[in-house]
Amino acid sequence: MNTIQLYFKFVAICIRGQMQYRLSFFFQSLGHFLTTVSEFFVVWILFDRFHQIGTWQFAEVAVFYGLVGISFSIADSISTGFERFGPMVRDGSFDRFLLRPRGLVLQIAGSDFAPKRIGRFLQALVVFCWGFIQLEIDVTIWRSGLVAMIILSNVVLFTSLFLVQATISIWTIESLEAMNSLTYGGSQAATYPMAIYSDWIKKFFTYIVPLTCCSYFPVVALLGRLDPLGTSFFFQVVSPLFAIPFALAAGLFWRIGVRHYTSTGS
Amino acid sequence: MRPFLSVLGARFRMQLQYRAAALAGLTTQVFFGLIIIMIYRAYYANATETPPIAIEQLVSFVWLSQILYAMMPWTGAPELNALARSGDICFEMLRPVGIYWRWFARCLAWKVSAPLMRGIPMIILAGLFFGLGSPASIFSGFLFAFSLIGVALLAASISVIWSAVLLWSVVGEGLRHLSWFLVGFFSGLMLPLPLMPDWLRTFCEYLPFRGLVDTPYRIYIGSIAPGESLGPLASQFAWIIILIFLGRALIRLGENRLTVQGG
Repeated sequence: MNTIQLYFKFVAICIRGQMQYRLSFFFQSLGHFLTTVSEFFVVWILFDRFHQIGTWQFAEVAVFYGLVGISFSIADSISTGFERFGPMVRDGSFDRFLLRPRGLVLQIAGSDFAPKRIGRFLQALVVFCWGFIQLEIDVTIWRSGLVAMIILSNVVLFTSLFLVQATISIWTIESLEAMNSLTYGGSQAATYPMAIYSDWIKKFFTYIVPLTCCSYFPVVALLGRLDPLGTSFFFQVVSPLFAIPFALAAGLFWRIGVRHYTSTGS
Repeated sequence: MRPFLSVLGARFRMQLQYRAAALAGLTTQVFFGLIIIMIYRAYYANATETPPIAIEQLVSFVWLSQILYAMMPWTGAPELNALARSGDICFEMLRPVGIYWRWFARCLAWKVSAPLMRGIPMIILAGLFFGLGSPASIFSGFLFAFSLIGVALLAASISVIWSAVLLWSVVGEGLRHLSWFLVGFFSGLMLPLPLMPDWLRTFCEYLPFRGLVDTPYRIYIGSIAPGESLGPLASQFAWIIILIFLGRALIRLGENRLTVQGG
């Protein structure tokens, strides 16, 4: 059985397991949905009062919000196993994974899956479509391709961040909450166009973590407007590719981490 | 009082063991605070009419929310979470002190000690570098301190309820996921009540969650003047009493129909 098939098999098992508690799953998704809806409701209330943020309209922010929400919910579902990696290192259950004849990333990614993120995914999808329709942007082939590229690059980026977070816990033994600034904080920040933030945030999320390249520049190209940061259209379209070197670096870091792993279990 | 103090002492010593975690949490919350403030500043730059709270007040509000974040009753006390699921609940029921007040003491100790480790350094950081102002007046500061006692009691009474619904194990676990929404939105944490439209603000003012954020923080920043604070403070303490009764009733009901799991 190849890797992808096996991963989907793992996911199917996790989903089947969680569907044994249907009511619980329903409430979890509902809670997730309400939280994210209220989050966007707050944006709506603020726009109702202030009309715009920087030079950006409500519908434009909706597109940013929707795209990062869609991507983050996918990345978060895939990475649930990595988010639980800290405890695996602490109690030594990671040793078992090392013994099995399959790739480690696959096994850990497949060890848990959170279908409740569907609440966030659906909400973000609705917001994105609404913003897109509101702005009356034509749906063309290259725009659809760009949307796919934006989502894919964001998923790669956030998944890499979760992988880095998991790797760090090989040394620190407990999961490092500070990394949440990058994962959850990054996705939170990217719900608004990055142009509104102070310089140090923009620089940090461009040169150290290429979040701006995945969730700001290409979205500006999608909206077809002038970038207040003054980037060219060509740069905006190719910038999601910066997710690739970042993912490779994260993968390398993970390999180094695993080589340094010493078991803590008994 | 004595048993409560000893629970509190144990809690605080436990927290001290996790200095690295506190430092990591501190970084995260400062980061989030800065992002939120930048967003508000960007909105405020376009304000056509004067917003109901000034940006300096709002900045202090955001820092208070980050400093006291751990005090919010997001869930029940962690040590109580697994009780119903694992079946250890039966040991709890065998003890000679009533469940309610013991759980209440645990939650209260948790809520009082949780913000200390990261809160104190954050007060210093935010006060020196990031625009956390002092209370609007000495009297406001005094009233804020008083309403903080209310926050601790209110948070504890709500936490016990989140623990109590876990006696209905499956439904309870689900209900707990609504707590983030209920507490985060209706307290004014996600958006301060004065910035909400009138109908929503009025609605929030009738709910208990307002006493967790809106009342204390707005007294601090002077958005509720000391003269106007009697009503909000009275509602804060009235809700504490109501929720204590509700929690007790829930636990009694849960105990009677509980099926102990595990073996």
